[in-house]
Amino acid sequence: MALVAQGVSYAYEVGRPPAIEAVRTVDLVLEVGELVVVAGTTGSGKSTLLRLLAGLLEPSVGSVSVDGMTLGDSQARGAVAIVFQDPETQFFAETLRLDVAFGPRNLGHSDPQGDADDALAAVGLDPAVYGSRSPFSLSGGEARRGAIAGALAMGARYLLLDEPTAGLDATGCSAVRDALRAERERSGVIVVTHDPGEFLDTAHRIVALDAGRVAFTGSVEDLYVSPERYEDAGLELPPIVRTQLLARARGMRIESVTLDPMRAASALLAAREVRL
Amino acid sequence: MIVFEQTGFSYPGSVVPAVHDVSVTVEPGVLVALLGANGSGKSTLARLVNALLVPSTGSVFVDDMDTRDEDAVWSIRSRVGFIQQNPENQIVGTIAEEDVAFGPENLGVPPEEIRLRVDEALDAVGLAGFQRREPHMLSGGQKQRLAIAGALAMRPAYLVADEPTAMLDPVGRADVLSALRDLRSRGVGVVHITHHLADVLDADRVIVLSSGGTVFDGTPAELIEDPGRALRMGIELPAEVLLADELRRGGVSLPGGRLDPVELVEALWRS
Repeated sequence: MALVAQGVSYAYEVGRPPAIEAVRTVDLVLEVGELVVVAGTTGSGKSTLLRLLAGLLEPSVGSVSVDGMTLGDSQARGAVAIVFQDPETQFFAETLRLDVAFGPRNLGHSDPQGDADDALAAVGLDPAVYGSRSPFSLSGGEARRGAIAGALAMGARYLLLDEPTAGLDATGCSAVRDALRAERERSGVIVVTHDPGEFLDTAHRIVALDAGRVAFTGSVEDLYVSPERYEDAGLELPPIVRTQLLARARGMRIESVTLDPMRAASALLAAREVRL
Repeated sequence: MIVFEQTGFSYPGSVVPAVHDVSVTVEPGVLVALLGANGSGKSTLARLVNALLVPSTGSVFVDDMDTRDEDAVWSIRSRVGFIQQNPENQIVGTIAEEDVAFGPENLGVPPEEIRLRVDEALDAVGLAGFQRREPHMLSGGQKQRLAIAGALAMRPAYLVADEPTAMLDPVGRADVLSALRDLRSRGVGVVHITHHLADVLDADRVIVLSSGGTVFDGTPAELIEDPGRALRMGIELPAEVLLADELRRGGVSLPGGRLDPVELVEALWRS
C-alpha cells in the first residue's frame, strides 16, 4: 500500500526550446501512516511533483502508481486527494457541511453528509458547531481546516497539500499541524512547503528538491546529522535547531534536538553544567 | 506623515467594526511593523492609508490630506505605494522595465524622466541589469522586489507592504526584508504588515492589532520583554527569542536584542 513515483520527470513547454525540466528523475514512496515533507525554494519543482503524484500531470518519463495501480485505473479513483494553496478561496456552498459533502456526493458515496461530519471532526472542527456555519464566516485557520476536510471527506488514502499553512497566523498554523498529525495515522500525507521548519517535529521524512532533483532525503535526525545538502538547496533550518546543532558541534551533549524553546533551554543549560 | 486619528471602519452589512479607535502616526524614514492575528484588522488598516477604503469614524491623513477628500485621492495614492502578498498579482509588464514604468506612465511623467526612475528603482531593489528580463523568469523574491520597484518609480513618500514575504522562500524573504530596510534609509516611511515578529525585530516601532483595536504600541524590545503578554495578543515570539529568554533566566549572560545561533552558543560556551 503506497503511492509511488519511479524515475519521474516532467518538462513544461516541450517543443518550444528550451523546454523547462521542472522535475528530474525523482523517486518517492509514500506509505499510509507517514507524513513526508517535500521542501524546496520557489521554482524547485515541488508543486509540479505534487501534481504528478495526484495524476493532474502526466510524467514525461517514469511512472506514478497508487497501491499497485496506475492513477488512471478506475479502482484508483479517489485514492489521492490534493489540497491546493489557499483552498478556502474555493468554497461555494451555503454551509460548511454541504461544501465538504460535495466531493463524496460526486464520487457516489452512500452518506456524503456523514462523511463530511467525520472529516470535519478529524480536522478538529466539531460538526455540531461548524457544520451549519457559512464557510465564508470562518477565521483563517478554521477555513483552511474546513478546506482540508473537503479533501479528507472523499476518503482518499493519500493526501497531498501545497503550502497548507501559508498566510495563517500562529494559532491557525498550529491547528492545521495538529489536524495533519492526527490524519497521518490513517492516511499517507505529503506536505509541500518552502518553510519546513514548523513541520520538523511532525515529519517522518524530509525530501528536499533543488532544481527538480532530490537533493536530500532522510529522517529529521538524518537531516540534523548532515544538513549541508539541504542548505545547499537554499533551505534553512530554524535558528533554534541551528543553535542546538552548533552546541553539539562544539562538543556539548545534546541528546535530541527539539523545536520547543523550554526543552531546548534546559538541554543546553544541562549540557553547560556537564562541561563545567 | 501618515496620521490615523481615532480611525474606525466597518464593512457594509457587518455589525462589528473591522478597525476601531486606532490612533497611529507614521513618519518618513521610519519602519513601522503592524502585527496581529488573521482577522485582527491589519489589512483593513493598510487599505485605509491610500483611500482604497475611507474611515467610517475618525480620520486618516496623508501629509495633511484627508483620505475622505475625493479631490485628494490621486495625490494621496501617488504618495503611498502599496504592495501585497502575492507578487504574481501585481505584475503587468511583459519585461521588468515595462512593469516598473507602468505607474509613472499613468501619472503622465515624461519619457526621459521615466527612463531615469525605472533604472533608479530597479537599482534600489538590487535588480540593476534586469531591465529586459521577463517577469515569469524571475524567482519569487525577485518578483516581489520588482513589485517594490514599481511602487518606488512613483517616488512615494510611504510604502505599505501587506505580508510581502508570506509566499517567499528563505532567500526571497531575506531579499525583500533588506529591500524594505534600504527604503527606510532612503527616507521612505515603511509600514510592514506581517504576523511574523521574526521579520520585524529591527523595526523602529511595532503596533499590535487585536480585534480591530491597538493593543500594543512600542519597540520590538518592549514587546519581547513579556512573552506571555505577547501571546495573549496573538503574537507568537520566535522560538529563538524564547530560548534566549529562558537561557538568561538560567543564568547565562546574554546581550539584549536579536541573537543568531552562533552568538547564542558562544555566550553559552563562555558563561
